[in-house]
Amino acid sequence: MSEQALNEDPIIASFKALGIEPPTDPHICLYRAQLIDSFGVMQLVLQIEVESGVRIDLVSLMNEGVSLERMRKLLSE
Amino acid sequence: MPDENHSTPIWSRFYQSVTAQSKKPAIIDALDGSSLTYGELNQAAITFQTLFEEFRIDAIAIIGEPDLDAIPLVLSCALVNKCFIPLSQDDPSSRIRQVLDQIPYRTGTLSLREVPEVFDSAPRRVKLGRKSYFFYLKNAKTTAPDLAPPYLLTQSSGSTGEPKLIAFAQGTKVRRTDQSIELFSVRHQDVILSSSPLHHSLGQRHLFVALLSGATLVKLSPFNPIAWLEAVKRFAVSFAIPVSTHLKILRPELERDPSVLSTFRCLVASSATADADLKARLLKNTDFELWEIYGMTETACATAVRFSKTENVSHVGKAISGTNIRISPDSEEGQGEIEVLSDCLCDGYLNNDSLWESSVTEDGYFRSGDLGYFDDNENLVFLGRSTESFESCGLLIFPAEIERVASNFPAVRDCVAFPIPNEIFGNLIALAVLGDADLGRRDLLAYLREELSKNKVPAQLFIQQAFPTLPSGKLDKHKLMREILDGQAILSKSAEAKS
Repeated sequence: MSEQALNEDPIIASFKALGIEPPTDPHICLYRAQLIDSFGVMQLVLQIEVESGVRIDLVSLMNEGVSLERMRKLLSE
Repeated sequence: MPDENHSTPIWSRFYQSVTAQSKKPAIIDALDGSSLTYGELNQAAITFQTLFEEFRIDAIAIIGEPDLDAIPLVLSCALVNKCFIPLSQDDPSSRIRQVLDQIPYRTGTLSLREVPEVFDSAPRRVKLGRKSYFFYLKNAKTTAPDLAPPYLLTQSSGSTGEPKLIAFAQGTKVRRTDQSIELFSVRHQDVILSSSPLHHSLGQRHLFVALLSGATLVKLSPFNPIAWLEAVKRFAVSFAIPVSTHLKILRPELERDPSVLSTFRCLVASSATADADLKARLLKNTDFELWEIYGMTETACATAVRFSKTENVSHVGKAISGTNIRISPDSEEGQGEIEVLSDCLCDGYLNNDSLWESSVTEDGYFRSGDLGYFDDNENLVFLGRSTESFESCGLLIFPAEIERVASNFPAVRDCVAFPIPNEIFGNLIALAVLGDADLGRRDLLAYLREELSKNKVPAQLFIQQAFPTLPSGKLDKHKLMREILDGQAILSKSAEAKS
């Protein structure tokens, strides 16, 4: 699992690890659209950190929207 | 058939609301708009009492948030003097089992899904409103207690991580409810929004304040900022007691357009001090009463303050009527553990008199486990937890519980759970792990998610090669936390520099 996950997009791998379907709309805020709750956001962020090795700013993500687009941007910074 | 003469404290008060306004909505489900009038709620509560007769039970537990079909059971328990136990569906089965094992009464447990991992016996099916529930009977051979059981049991973690059940008699619950009704002048015209679950004392406070004052309760659980704001607008909400974490999450929307709260008469921040800047902004841009309260499940509301536009907003006010607050006489220089004497104290911990006795001083003050001091105007300033417990997302976290679970994972040699301050959630739960080389982060996380309630799963994980020790050889927990927090601060600064 770990090797395969490492080869995958860390964000998609994280959704998979948590058993959550990634949204089709990359701009939608998963939290505000009620696709995940606040505990779900924390676990998604932690899983992405584990998969990517990059620390993510949770406060900025919550304030600016927990979207695929925003997560990708934070990973690429 | 019960009537206005029925004498149990909660039922007789509820019945006053029924007779005054039987066709008025008592509870509205914010998500689908369905509702129960006071008359319908009364009728369903009376109908459900047959459950107690049929199964000869003295207590009823429900796993998961009761919806409009199941919520009349809370009142059925009041009517027939039985015990109601709301349980979180997010708790792992092992914990639910641990809680139910503490209950000495013949108990029925309702669940919308089968839970064979909690019960050894096969379930029956019972219908509540439109829904069919699985019904499990526990302590089937137990006879009825000589004294009526407590009316309500609320689960909380102790410092050891073992669940404890906080007991409330009906009379106590009525006193605590009246405390809130009087303090915030709640009236039958109010529309009250609750986004706290019923297994949390704040969810219970919203429910009883609404039903005993004749107001309408709008129920929204779990909390979501968009749904919360939509509910405020759709139902013209006038009163709510959100936890301060919810207010922080709502902050971007409230700053963009403070008028979204224009229907409010009174908003009360609770569970950890709300952000002073946010309070100041709300005061500047809105006209409703803004309050903050301090208290805990055991004590109800201990202090309260209504802020004004010109007032310092960094304290949590003075002791309210019926309550005395002091800083522990053992403390030095005015700072120390906050102790609360109140006529609204709970009725102890179920089956754990020794724990309750150790939680209360000889002269009856409850030891809060919180640190504070009084400012020059005798207002209480809350500093944080004095014990190792801390708040995350408005819920009390006991590190020992998380450490106990994590240490059972193979390859974890030692671990420490601790808080990392966070602007929105108050604190994030962090777990530092001293692990073998083959410790897999992914597997550890999957295990923790399986074994812990979701609000207790760490949000930060640090795998360490070594833990600092004291000269005695014991773990230096404070140094470990400091090293990790310093590392976090460096990361934050570099992130700020990048942006």
